[in-house]
Amino acid sequence: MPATGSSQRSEEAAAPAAAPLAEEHAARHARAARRGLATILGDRGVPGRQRPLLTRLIAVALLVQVVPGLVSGPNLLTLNLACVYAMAAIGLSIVFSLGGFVSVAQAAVMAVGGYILILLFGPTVGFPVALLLAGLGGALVSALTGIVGARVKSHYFILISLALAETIQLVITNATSVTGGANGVGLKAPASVLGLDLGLPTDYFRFITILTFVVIYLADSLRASRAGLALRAQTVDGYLALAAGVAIGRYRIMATAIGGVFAGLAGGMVAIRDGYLGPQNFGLDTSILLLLMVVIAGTGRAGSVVVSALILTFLSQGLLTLTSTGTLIYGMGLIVLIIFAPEGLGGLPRLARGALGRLGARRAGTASDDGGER
Amino acid sequence: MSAGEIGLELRDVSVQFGGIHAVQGVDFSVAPSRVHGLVGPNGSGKTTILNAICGFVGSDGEIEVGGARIDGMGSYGRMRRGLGRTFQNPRPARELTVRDLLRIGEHDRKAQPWWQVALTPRAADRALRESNERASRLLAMVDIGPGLLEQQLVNLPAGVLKMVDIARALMGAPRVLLLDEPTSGMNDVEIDLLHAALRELSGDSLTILLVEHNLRFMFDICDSMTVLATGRVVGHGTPTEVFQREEVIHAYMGSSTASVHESRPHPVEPSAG
Repeated sequence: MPATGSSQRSEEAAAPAAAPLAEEHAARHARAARRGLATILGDRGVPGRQRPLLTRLIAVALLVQVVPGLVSGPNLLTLNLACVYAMAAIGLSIVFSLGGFVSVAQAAVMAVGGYILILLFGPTVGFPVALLLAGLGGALVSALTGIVGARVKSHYFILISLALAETIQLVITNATSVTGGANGVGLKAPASVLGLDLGLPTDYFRFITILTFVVIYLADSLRASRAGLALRAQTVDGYLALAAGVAIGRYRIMATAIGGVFAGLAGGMVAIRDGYLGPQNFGLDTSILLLLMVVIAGTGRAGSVVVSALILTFLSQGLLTLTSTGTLIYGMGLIVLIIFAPEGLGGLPRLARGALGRLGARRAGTASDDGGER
Repeated sequence: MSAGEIGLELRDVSVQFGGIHAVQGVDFSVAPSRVHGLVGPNGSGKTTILNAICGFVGSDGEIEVGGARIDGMGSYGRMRRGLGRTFQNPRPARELTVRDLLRIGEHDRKAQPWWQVALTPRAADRALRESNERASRLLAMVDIGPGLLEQQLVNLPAGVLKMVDIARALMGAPRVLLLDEPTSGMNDVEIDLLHAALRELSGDSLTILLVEHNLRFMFDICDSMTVLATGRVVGHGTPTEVFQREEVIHAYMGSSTASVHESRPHPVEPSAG
């Protein structure tokens, strides 16, 4: 057996690493079991499950209460936009990291949701119904890319999504009687829901925060589910997923549909925020911005996508006022970020831990050298 | 024979890659609780036969699992019919843990729609706990402690990863298990563990089809064997009968170092000329 020698070595190397990990795991669960608070917060000590719902609810309640008092004016408007983008970017991260598709059509999917809402919402169709239909429309269009995309290789998918994005732009620009063409279309009635007047930036923030948290929760649930795990497995090895009895094609289409729901909702919320929609809201630059948010977030966890959405929205909006210099700074900032955090924001904690570990090791190493040799 | 006595049966199975016959007219059947080995030199079509059974490559001929035809189905449907399959070189996603991989392997044995995780966390927790217990039991069979469940797959040594991949295939509670070079990358202790585990499983009426270059392991564990050369069956028999054949000994002596090249399902498997 030629392989025996080498495997023996690697076995010895990994065994000590595995053992403390097991102990640490056991200890963590013993601690969690002792903590009374854990049961209240919903952590019943099942390894592999997502963050408990109650902590999320508390976080939403705090944000909704505190932030509108602290932030106001243009900053609040930008914050609202960041939440919209975060929703769309979380959808895109599902398409990207679970479906395995690189899509530049996410802004176009938002456009579908946005126009559905702005055209339907009025005296006859209520806001919640119109918003749900916006999500549904986004799902249908996005699933369409998935159905085509499941048959082609990943890099061809970019072209397909580009074609879809351009088609939707052309339809919006040229179907003047319905969409208002390049002039755009205005909201027919003021929107309010749950006693919140969405025309007010503060109330809009409260609603979009709740919506964003629902999206985060659903996205994290999807990632933690067996379907989500299977999707993550198939992006690396399709055969492995097939051997595990996963209907890969169907699951990938499902991922694009779910990503589309979130984009459709986000598009609808753009319409509410601006009270007006035009084709320029959903150009290719918006798609690229969303893709950047996903890439910079790195891990695909919804939380890190929100962080990168906040950073990139404020950067892009703030630097817009500086015109060409601003774009230059923006571009260089992105390059610097990608060089120093290649795994994205989600990889930063690990990078930091690694750097601290190396620093600690070096200090310990020099100390022992000093003691031992001199 | 009645349908109940057959675990896996292939009748006149052929695979073509663009005019090249990788596998031609292969017949064999394996009863439940039996371990059947495929032997032959590299390029004789052993892995291609596994891929044909799984539906990873298109094939002609009839394939039955437990008396029901599965040819014509997609891979997904075949796995649901009770197939399990391991890989010579499992390539798992970077950040997945052992637990994640085993949960994926559970597939529709315990169907859990993703929204269950969102809407009924308690039910999802229960399913997760059951899945964890099952995973721990399967890993214990190959002497791997539950602490390993939290390990990321990239950190596992090759032999342990192979064991975990076998456990992954077993999570789906298959009736027929296809093993592709299970001992490659394993040390002697692990090979002994695998041997014991496979014996226990086949005693539990699991049908096992084995492709393997470790001849001692094959000799010890197989109840019967099919000898292949250039995609055709050259003979069937018990291990003792097969290993007395001149061409088998010759084929293995000549190809033992090249064993790593025949591995994963791939449309351009080297075909012996």
